[in-house]
Amino acid sequence: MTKLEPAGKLLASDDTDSEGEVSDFAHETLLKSLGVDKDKKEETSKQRTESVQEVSVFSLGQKSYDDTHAGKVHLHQLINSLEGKSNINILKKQINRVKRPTQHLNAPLSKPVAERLQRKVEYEKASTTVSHWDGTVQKNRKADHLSFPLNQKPLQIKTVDEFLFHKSKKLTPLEEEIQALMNGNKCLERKDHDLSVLEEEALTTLSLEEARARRAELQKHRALLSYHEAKNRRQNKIKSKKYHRMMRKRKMKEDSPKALDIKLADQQRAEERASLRHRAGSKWEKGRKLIAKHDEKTKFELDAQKQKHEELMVRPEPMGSVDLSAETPTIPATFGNDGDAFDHAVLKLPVENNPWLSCTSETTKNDSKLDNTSVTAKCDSGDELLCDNAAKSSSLMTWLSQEENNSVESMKTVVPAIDSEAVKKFKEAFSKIKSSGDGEDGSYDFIQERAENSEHEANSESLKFKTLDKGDHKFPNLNTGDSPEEISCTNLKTKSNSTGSTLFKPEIENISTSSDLKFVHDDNNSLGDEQRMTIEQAFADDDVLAEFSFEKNELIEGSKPKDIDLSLPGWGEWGGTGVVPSKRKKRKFLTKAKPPPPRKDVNLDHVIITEDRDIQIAKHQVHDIPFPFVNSDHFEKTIVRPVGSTWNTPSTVKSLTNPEVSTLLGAIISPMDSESKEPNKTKNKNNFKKQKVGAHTSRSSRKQNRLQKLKILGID
Amino acid sequence: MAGRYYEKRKLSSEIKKNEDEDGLSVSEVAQPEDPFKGSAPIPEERKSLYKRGKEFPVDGIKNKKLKGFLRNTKKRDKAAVNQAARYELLLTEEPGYIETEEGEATWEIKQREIADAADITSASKYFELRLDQFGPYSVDYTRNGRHLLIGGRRGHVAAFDWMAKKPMCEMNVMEAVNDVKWLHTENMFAVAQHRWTYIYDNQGIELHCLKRLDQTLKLDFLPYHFLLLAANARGFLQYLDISQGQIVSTINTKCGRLEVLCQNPANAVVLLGHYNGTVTMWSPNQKKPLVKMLSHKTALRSIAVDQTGNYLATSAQDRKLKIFDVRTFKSLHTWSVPAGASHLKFSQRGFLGASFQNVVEIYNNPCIQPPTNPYLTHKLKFPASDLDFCPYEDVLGVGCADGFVSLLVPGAGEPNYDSFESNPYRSKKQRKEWEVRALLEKIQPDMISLDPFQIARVDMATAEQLQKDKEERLGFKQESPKFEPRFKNKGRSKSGNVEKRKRKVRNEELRKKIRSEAEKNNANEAAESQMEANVITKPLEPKSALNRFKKKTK
Repeated sequence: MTKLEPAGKLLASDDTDSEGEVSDFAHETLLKSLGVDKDKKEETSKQRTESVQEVSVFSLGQKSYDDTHAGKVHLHQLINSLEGKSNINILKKQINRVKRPTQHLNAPLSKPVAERLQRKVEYEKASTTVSHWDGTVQKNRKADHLSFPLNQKPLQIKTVDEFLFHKSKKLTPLEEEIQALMNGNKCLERKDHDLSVLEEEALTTLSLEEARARRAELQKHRALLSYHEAKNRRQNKIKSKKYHRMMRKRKMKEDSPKALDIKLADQQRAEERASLRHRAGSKWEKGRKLIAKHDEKTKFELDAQKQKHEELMVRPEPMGSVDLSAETPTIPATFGNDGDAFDHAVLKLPVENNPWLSCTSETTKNDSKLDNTSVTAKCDSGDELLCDNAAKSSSLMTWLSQEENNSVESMKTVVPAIDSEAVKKFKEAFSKIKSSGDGEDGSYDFIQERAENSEHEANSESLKFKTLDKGDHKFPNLNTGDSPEEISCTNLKTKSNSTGSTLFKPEIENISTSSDLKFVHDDNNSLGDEQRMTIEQAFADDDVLAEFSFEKNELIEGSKPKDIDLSLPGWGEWGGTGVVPSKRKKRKFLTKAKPPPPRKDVNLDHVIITEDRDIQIAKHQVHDIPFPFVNSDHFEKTIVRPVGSTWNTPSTVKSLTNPEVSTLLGAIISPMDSESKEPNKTKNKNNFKKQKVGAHTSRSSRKQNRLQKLKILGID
Repeated sequence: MAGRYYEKRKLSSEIKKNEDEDGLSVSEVAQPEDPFKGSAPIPEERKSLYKRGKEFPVDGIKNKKLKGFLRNTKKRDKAAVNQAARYELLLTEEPGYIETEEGEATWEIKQREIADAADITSASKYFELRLDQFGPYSVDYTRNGRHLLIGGRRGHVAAFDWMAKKPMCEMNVMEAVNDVKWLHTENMFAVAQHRWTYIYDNQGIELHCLKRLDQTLKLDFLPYHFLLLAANARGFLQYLDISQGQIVSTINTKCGRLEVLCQNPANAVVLLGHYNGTVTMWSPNQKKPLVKMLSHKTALRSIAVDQTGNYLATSAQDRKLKIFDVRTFKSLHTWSVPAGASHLKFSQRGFLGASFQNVVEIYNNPCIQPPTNPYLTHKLKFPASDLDFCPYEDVLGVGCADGFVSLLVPGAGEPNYDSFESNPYRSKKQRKEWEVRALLEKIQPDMISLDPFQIARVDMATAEQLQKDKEERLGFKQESPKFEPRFKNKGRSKSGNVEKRKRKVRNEELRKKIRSEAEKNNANEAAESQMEANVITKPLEPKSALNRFKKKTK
């Protein structure tokens, strides 16, 4: 620090210079009076040697406060010289001016700092202007569909009025005329009013009572109408024919004034029906026929009756016969065969009519009439036969037996015992056919196939039932026929041809009224039980349950992961044949396999569900979940809804398949202007902004902290 | 004069957009208070028909983008369900029914009586074709119910538009006919004949002879997959893609003669019934049955699955009829019948037709409740040989030994048809367009599985598993991928260096190959030389200059 020279020194030195030689004493007193220490003077009066801020050659200037406190020149010391002087005001002003705090410009910042600041300011300004658009941007990003140009006016169809109103200028003469007419019309509805002029007038002219009365009247009318409508609807819904017939009659009576005539007609009709005249071949007709040969009048009467009969017989829609084509043997459609006596002779083939069968005319008969082979199954309701099966099957059995117990045991049927003779016969016949057909390969296959088939059918199809009681509740239709028929469809008659073609001709001969096919309705169930027993006994050999449980067990065992044995026999042991690794070793080196996940069919004894992987469908499945998803469940939920028109309504399909952006063809898509801005509401963007600003502040605060730290360390 | 309200003209400022339940914006006009605000409510049970899977919560998700997306999807789903449910309003037709008087039972009513009571067109659908020459008939209706195909055991095949009673073709194939089946349209049908299966067109012209489908006993057709199923006498189940003419899969079921077959219409899984009382379910993709279920103790006679694919009806020789739930494989009801039903068939509305010898019984909704009485019964003269409900009609077609009977079953058919799906009244052009569309929408046979939604599941298989799958599908192991040298630092991955390294590996492989070949050759040569050594060679003639004049032997 440089010591500053007191201001008085200058004055004193000026004095000495001017007077020349002054006594030392006087000089010293002067110095004292000025408060200058003579010893220190030498030290302090240093000339400025290097460039400092103070620009004073003789180090004239302020002294630092601490070391020259006493020697500081004060104002009052200077003012002493002013004593007795007038016109101080000027001086005062001058001093005041001097006393005012000095205003000086800061030194300009360095360029990078200045630029940084500039950038910051610019950024803030820009971000505020841009952030006005945040709402719009967010909205457009979220939007499912954008159609450009934006802010299109929705398509509106103008009403006639609006159209005319807008057009207004050029009207055709017709339009003008219409408008002239319409303008004066009181009934016309008005844009700004609910009611037309006429209506308003009517309302005003009506008194309150009148209006009420009118309203009540209208209400009543409306109510009546609705009642009537409801009644009609209700009546229409009634399904009873009788009711409608009665209604029709009543209506007819109401409509036609001649009620008597109707009555008469009814009576006549009733008489007609009662007399049986309407029927062809009635007693009356028979009698008349004899006379009619001779009597014209009777003949005429008869004709009239015939015509009437025909009229009566006409159905509203006669159901025509169905002819497939002219070539087929014409088979008329028949109805209600329930009551008909069925003529089985019809079934014999008209060979000459059928071109296909005509070739068989010279065929030699290979008489191999097969008996009806009714292989009947026997069943057993008791489970004792199955008890010795595998343990697993017992649960299965309980399942099945439960099923049996649950079943409705209302119907019992009788099955005749197996006819072993019939089977024998069948087999003989079959072998015959085989031997005869061996020569011709073409026919052989067919015969064999046929025989197999018949055998199979016999196995399955020809269970026969007996009806013991006519008052069957279950199957009333079965007993309606007076003569129950027995059917033996498996009767075959084979004919082999020398040329090789073998054809079959069904012949149903054995049609008798034997009670073979009759349904049973009996109260004593014992018979039915017996039969069931026989069925089950017949199939006792193939134990289905045990087989199934065995299969399942095998499958489960096969699919289990195996334990891995890594023990080496002979390692660390005495060698030789017949070395058995110790138990400890085995235990040590056996890595046990993890138990497999529980099977799907673990609780279903009667079901085997495969656990195999379906590699074909895996080809089409998604293996990796796409980006924003983290949970496969969510992803599955989003793709499970179909988009196609097969499963959705047209409008849904359109909305689901709407493109993200659509543009109007030929329209200019100009950039958005400030009017189309959305108010800034989004929370997200604000957060972002805050974060940004926060980041900025944190950066500057960090810098401040660093500066503070430096100050504390005393580094400036 | 009564006061009337006029709608105030809509001013753009007055229009308020409000989102109603369907997510559709509806402009609301300032009006007196509407007592029934918003769109009409839809009953929940109707909505549930169109829902897919359960609803899922969105609240716990942290990712906002995902959350928003899921929320949007949910909203869209809901709107779609509502829309679909609302469109049921357009299904105006109601199913048929029988109304009896007091004390009268429906099963006592005869066909004649039903026909008399019904309107003319319905009555005309009750008819009988007496074709007693060519023996028991199998029956099939097209998917729109318009055309009928009958195949007599003794070779008679006839196709006709049964409603108009207009024949299309009739022929005798001069061979036993086991089964007949319409293909995707009424233009083609398949006939399972004694030796092979044939395809004919609607004129009866033989289009194809499928020799690979031999000894077929039963045919079926999967309409959405264009697959013709053939069950064989030797226990083979075959799938033929009729759009490509290729056999997709041949499965040896090892279950003996396959005479009982039906399809599950919900998931296109094929069900077979066997002699040992088991029912097996098959898809073309697996050689083993998807499910094997022991349903009866005796041989099965017939099986049927209803339209929803939820219920299975089985009948066996033990004279029982059982209803199973296909989803849980548990038996729901069992009841005794006079005989094992030789044929079972579900109608579109869940009626079960069953034939016992010459009696045909129809049960009304047997899956919900075990029937105490049949809904209708009908007695034929001969045992029934086939049953088929006509789609979209209240008609049951029965084939028997003496021809074909068309029975009226009020309420059996679905009253409303989807004209895009199967239109009974479609024109030729519509049919053609439908055919193209159906082919475009054809489902691959790979996608058949027990769970129809499996395709929409994420398969979390390991990469190893996927590789294994691929090898299994291809049938061979793919070559290891090309050698790609890894990246090395310090300029060692310059293109030249990389190429050098590649060449090194390639050469090494080549060397290995050559070495192995050489070894093989050596081995061959050694073997040959051994052979030569064994063979006694002739001693060579001494060389002489005169040899050149000798006659050269070839």
